[in-house]
Amino acid sequence: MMHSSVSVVISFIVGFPIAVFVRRRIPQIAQHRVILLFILPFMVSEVIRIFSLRPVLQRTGLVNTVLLKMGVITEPITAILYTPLGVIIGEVMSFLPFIVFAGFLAMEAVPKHIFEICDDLGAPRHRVFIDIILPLAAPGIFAGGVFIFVNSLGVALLPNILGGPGAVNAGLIATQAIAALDFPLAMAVSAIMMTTLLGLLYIGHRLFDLTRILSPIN
Amino acid sequence: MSDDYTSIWSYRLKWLYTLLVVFTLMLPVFYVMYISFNKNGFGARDYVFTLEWYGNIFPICC
Repeated sequence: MMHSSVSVVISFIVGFPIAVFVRRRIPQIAQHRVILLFILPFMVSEVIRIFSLRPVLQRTGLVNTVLLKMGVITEPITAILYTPLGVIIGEVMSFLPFIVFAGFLAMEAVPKHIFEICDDLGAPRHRVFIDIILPLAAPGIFAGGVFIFVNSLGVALLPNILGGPGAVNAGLIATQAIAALDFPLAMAVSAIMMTTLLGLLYIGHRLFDLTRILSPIN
Repeated sequence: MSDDYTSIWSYRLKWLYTLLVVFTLMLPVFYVMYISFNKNGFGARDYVFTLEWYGNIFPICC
């Protein structure tokens, strides 16, 4: 659960500002086209996308080669692949677009004239983010976060391909339990995952009223 | 840019960041494609351009 939470936080930090930027600064006619750019990675099969991270992250891979040539490191980093870090990188690379999509939808709940008022009144950017964007876009941000969290917890491919000792998730445990014909364990893991998801959705609904996500459409 | 308050360079930087994130997401795929044109395969010291691997999949002659 730890690396799933870290993935959600990193995805939010990297992806949400893009959603805000697209909603605030890009002309409305072009907004969907920019968001469509983030569908590009999904044009490639998920297995290939995750597998293709191996040559990038491994000892003689792209990251190490570039860092070595730039003189940042003197010997290749071996702690990226087959570690929890590798799984986190894989999760962020796989699920980052979802926080952009969710953030983009969430920002629909923030009327554009509010930003103009904030700009006119000279509100600092961090106050606009904390006092205006976060409270209004909270349901969408939460929905995106839960989506990434549950996927990170359940997709067995990621730790299977990029992980190693100490880098497992619930999906991999369930898959291995099924392969070992230990169905009760697999069912217990699945039940815990479902309960976690339902619990998270309940908490989110109590805190942010998740039906607000659909309110701009209604 | 939809208002008069943002500087053009800040706007351009945000565009650059957005495109950089998209490029980073696609980078592993591009890198695998780059490797697929190497005769010696992944991790080889020398890069020798070839279409051999594609020739194996799509045989040109009979």
